[in-house]
Amino acid sequence: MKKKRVLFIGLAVVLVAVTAFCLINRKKTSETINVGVRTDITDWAYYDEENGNCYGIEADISDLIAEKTGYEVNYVPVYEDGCEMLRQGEIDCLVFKYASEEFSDDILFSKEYYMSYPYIVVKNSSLITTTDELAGKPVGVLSYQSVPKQQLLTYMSEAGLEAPEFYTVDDYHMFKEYLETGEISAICATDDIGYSLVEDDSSILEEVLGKQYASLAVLKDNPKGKIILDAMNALIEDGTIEALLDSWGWTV
Amino acid sequence: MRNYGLRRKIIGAVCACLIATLAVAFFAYKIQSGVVFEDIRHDLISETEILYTNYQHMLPLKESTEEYNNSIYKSFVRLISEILMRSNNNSVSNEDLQKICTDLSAKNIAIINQEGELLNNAYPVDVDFTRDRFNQLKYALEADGASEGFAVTVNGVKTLYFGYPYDGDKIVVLMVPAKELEEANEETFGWANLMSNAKLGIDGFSLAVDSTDYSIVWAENEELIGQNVVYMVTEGDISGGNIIQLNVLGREYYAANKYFGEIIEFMTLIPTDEVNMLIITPVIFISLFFFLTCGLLLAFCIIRSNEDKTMSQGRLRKIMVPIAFVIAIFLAVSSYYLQTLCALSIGMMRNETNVSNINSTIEKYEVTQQKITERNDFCVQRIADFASYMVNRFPEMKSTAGLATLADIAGCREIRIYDTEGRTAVSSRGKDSFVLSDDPDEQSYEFRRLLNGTQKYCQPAMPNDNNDIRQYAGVALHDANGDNCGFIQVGVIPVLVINAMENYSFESALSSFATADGTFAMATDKGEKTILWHPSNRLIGKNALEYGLKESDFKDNFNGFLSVNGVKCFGNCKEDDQHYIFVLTPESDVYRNRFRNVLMCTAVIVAVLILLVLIVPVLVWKKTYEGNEDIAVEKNNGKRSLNYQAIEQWKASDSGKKMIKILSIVFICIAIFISLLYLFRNEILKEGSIVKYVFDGHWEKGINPFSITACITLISAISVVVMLIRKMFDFLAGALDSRGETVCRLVGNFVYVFSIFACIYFCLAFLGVDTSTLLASAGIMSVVIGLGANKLISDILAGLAIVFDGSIKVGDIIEVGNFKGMVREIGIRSTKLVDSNRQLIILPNSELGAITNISTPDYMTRTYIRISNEEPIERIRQILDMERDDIQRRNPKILGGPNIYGVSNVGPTGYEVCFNMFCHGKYSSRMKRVLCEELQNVFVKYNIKRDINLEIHVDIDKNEMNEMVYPGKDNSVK
Repeated sequence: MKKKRVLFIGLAVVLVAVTAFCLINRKKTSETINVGVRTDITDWAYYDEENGNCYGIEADISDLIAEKTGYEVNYVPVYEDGCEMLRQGEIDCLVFKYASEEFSDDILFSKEYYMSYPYIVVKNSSLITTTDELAGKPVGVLSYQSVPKQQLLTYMSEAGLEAPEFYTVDDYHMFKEYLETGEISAICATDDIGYSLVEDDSSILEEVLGKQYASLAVLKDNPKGKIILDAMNALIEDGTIEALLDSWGWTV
Repeated sequence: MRNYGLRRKIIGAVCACLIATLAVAFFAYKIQSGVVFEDIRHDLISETEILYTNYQHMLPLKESTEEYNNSIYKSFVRLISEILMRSNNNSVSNEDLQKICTDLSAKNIAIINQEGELLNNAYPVDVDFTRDRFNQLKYALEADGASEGFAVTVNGVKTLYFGYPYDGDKIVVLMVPAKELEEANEETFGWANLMSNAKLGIDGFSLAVDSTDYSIVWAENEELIGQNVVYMVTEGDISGGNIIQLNVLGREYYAANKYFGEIIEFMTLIPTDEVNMLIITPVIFISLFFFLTCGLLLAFCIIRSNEDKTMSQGRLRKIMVPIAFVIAIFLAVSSYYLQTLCALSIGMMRNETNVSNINSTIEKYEVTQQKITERNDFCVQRIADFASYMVNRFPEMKSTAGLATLADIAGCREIRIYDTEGRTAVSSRGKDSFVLSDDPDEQSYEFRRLLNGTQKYCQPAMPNDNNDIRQYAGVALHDANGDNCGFIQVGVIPVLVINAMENYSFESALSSFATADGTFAMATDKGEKTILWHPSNRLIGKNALEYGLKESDFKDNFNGFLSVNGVKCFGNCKEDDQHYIFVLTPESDVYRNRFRNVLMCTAVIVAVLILLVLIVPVLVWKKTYEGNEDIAVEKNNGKRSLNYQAIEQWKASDSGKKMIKILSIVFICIAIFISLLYLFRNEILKEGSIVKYVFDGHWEKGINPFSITACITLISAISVVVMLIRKMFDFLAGALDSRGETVCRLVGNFVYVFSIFACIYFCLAFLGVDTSTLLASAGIMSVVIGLGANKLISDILAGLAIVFDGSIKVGDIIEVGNFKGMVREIGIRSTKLVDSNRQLIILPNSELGAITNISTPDYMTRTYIRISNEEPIERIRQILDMERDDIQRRNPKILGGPNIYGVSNVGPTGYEVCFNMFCHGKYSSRMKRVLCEELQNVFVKYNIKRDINLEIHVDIDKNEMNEMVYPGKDNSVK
C-alpha cells in the first residue's frame, strides 16, 4: 500500500515537472516574420539557397529581434531593392537599409545603427587616383542605391566638375564584369558592397563623399512592423547591436 | 528480525564502486580533455602559423618571379618596338605584325594611338583600348618606356597586356595569355605546393580560406573548393580565431583559423575522433583500474567483516586505510604510466607528422627549385633567341653598339658573337678577347657544341671564377648558305635561380620548421653522420656521434629517446637517399603536463577513496551481523547447488586467500584484455598509436616506457597462454586416471614454472640486460650446483616451492615431524617456527617434507565426556541447543558449535559423547580449553550426571570421526 502511495506521488511529481518544463519552454508566439536579407555581402549576409540558412551580421540581428519579439524568422533573400518587397508584403522588414528621404512616406526606419562613406572602386590599370578624375567618365551605380550616386553628383557639382556618366546596374555582381572589361571606369556603392568588390588589381579612392546611415526598415502599414522596430530600437539603445558589429570587426 | 543478505552487500558495493568510478572518470575526463584540448589548440594554431610563415616566405619569391616574368615580357614588347622601328616601315601592316608573332611565338600584337584607338593588329582584338581600363598602356608614351603588365579577363579568358612607345605617338601592345604564366606560377607557388603536406594527425588537413567571405580557396579535396566554411561550423565562432568544430563531408573536425590581416587565412583541421581517442583512452584505463582496485577494496571489506563479526567500524577502517593507500599509490603509478604513454603518443604523432612534413618540404623545395630553374632556363634561352633573331634580321646589330643596345633591351649582362674558332668576334662590352676553353672542366667549353652542329644551348646557372652565379645561353649563327658562322651568346644574372637556391635549399626547408613548444629539426648525412642542420650553428658540421647520438638512432621510422648535445629529446627519424632527418622535442616539453595531470588525478582518486573508507564500513557494518548467514543459504535456501563445492572451498579459505583469488581474477581479466588488444592490434589500433608502435616492436631496448609496456604485454600474454594450458590440463586430468592426472598436473606446473623463467628472461632482455651473459651465468650456476652446492640449492629450490605453492605462510601453525609451532619466517634456505614454549625452531627447507597445516579457518576442536545412562542424549542435545547462543556470545572466536559430534563409546552404565566446536586453527589450543570449560559449566548448571567409571563395551574408532566438516553446518550425529 505504502509502495503504491510512493509510486503515485512520484508519478504526480514527474507529471507536474514535465508540464512546468513544457510551459516554461513554450514559444511565446508561433508567428513568423519574413526578414529581408541580402545574399552574399561580406560579413553581412550570406544566404544559402539550398537550405534557406543565413549567416552574417544581418542574420544575427534577425535572431536578436526574434529572441526579443518571440517571432520565428524566415529569411528572404533580397537581390534588388528591398523597399519594393516591403511594399508588396513579401517581407516584414529589411535589416539593412540606408535611410533616404524618398522612402519617408510609407517606410519607417529604426534608429541608425551603422554609418559609412560610399566607396569608389577603380582598377589600378586605369591610373585613376582621385574622384575628380571621374568627371564625365562612366561610373557604375546600383539601381537600389540612390544615396551614393546622389552624393557623387553633389561632390562633382560642388567641385565644378562635369558629372560622371552613370551606368545603373541592378545586380552588383555585374559591377565586377563591367569594371573588368572597362565598360565603366569606376563603381560607386555603399562600403559593404564596395568592400566585396575590391581585388588585388583594384583600389578604393579617397573618401570624399558624405556619410550615410543604415537602419532597419519596415512598412508603416505592417502591424508587425512596429513590434520589430521597437525591438530593434531597444537593441540599438542597449548597445547590443554595437557589440555585435564590433564582434564582426565593423565599427558603427 | 530481518537479515540483510550478502547479495545486497555485494550489490551495494558494486553500486558504490560504480558511482566512485564514474566520479573518477568524470574528473579524469575533465583533466585529460583540458590538457589534450590545450595541446590540440596549440598544435592547430602552430600549424596554421607555420602555414602563414611559409605563405609569407613564398610571397616575395612569387612577387620577384612575377616581376622577372614581367621584365621578360617588357623586354619582349620593347624588342618588337625596336624591330618595327628598325624595319623603317612607316606603314606597318597587320601582316607584318603577324610575321613577328610567328617569328617570336607571340599570341597577338597590336598598335594603338595615344587615345587607344586601334591602328593595327596581328589578330582580332576583343577589347576596347580607348577605355580607362587600358590607361596603363597609354601611359607608356608619357613614361617613354615599357608599361607595367596588367591582366584583363574577357569572356573568361585572361590576357596580360604590355605596351611600349613606337614611332613617337603610337604604342605597341603585346598580348600574352595569362594561363601559361599562371600555370607555371601555380606549379611553383600554388596552394597545392604550399599546403598539400600541411596536416595534423592521421586524417587532418588544411584549408586556404578567403577571409572576406570564408569561401574555401584551396583544399586537397577539390570537392570542397568554393564551399563556404561558415555553413560547416557546428560549434564555435569562426570570426574569433578560436578552436571551432566543423562538419566537413559528414565528419567532425576541430579547426583553428587565425586571421593575419591578409585576404587569405589558413585553417588546420583534425578529426574530433582522433582527438577524442587521446582523451578517452587514458580515462578508460584509469577508470578501469580504479573500478577493479576499488572493487578489491570493497570485496576485502565485505570478506573481513563477514569473517569477524565483532569487528567495529573503526577497526574495519583501520584495515581499509593501508589497502586504500596501496591502491592510491598503484593508481598514481598507473596514471603516471598512462600519462607517459599518452604524452609519448601525442609526441610521436606530432613528430611523425612534422618529420613527414619536413621530408615533403624538402622534396617540394627540390621540385620547386627544378621548376624555377626550368622556367629560368626557358627565359634565358628566349633572350638568346631574341638576340639571334635581331642580329640575323638586322646585320648592322653585329657591332658593339648594336649588341649593347640589344643587351639593354633584353636586360642581359653581356652579349657576345663568337667566330667559328670560338674566339669573340664582337661583344657588347667593346674590346673582348675571350676564347672558348678547350678544357672540358671549364665553364665555356660546353659552348663549343654550337660550333659543331648544335643549334641552341642553355648552360645551367653556375658560379664563375669570382664565385658569382652566372648563366649563359647561345644560338648558332649561319651565313647565307646556311653554314655555321659562329654563335651568339647571352650572359645573364639568373635572378630566379639565385632566389631559388637561397630560399628553396635543404637548409631552408629545415630552418623554416620551428614550433612554439621547443620542437626542432636536425639533419645529418648518411655517411659520416655529420650534422648538416641544427638550430645551434655551433653543431653544424660536427659529428653527431660525438654529440650524444648513437648508431642505433640512425634508422628510418625511429621513434624514441635520444640525446643531442646533452639534451634528452623524444624524436622521430626519417631517412632519405642522402640524409637522416630528425624532429626532436626536449623531454621536458614532451612531459610538460604529466606531473600536473597525475597530481590532479591522484588527488581525485584519494578524495574518492577517503569517501569510500568513511562510508563503506558504515554500510557494511550496519547490514552484517544481525544474523549468521552465508552465500549458500542465501542463494540456495539451504539446498546444495552444483557449484556448492566451489562455494564451500571459497568459504573455507581465509580473507588473504580470498583476496588473492580476487586479485588473480582481476589480473587475468586485464591480461586477457591486453592479449586481445595485441592479437587484434591491426584492427583496433590506428597507425601512429604508441601502443601499436610498441606492439610492432620497433622500439629501442632499455629502461623506457616502450620496454615497460612491452614487458606488461608479454607478461599478460604469457599469463593468458599459461592459464589456458593449465585449464586444458586440468580438464584433461578430470578425464584420466590418477596416474594421468598426476602427469597432467606435473606438466601444468612445469609450464607454469617455465613461463615464469621465460617472463623474467624476456623482460630482462626488453629492459636492455644482456641475456646472453645471463644465460652463460646460468650455465656457471649449474656447474656450481653439480660441484657441491646441491644441498644449499635444494634448500633454496624447496623454499621457492613453498613460496610459490602457498601451502604455508607466516603465522600458520604447522606440524612437521615432531615439531609443532607457528611459522615466523619462510627464508630462502630455512623456515623458522616458534613452538608453544616460545622456542625458536629452525628447519632447512629441504627437510620440511610432509607438513600438517592446522591454521585452517575451519578447525574442529573436540572433547569427549562420559555420561551416565540416566541422562538421555536428547536432553543433552536440547540443553546444548539452548545454551549455544550464549556460549557463542561469550566467545566470539567460535565459528560454529558446540555440537554433539556423536557417541564415541558405550558401556553398561553410560556412554561417551564427542563434542565438537569450530574455530580458526590458530586458536585451536585455546578454544579446546574454552570448549571444556563451557561444557563443564553446562553440565554443572543442568546437573547432568556423568559416568566416571564407564566400562567400554563398544569402542568406536575415533579416527572414523575425523571426517571433513565445515563450520556453520550441523555436524552433530542425530
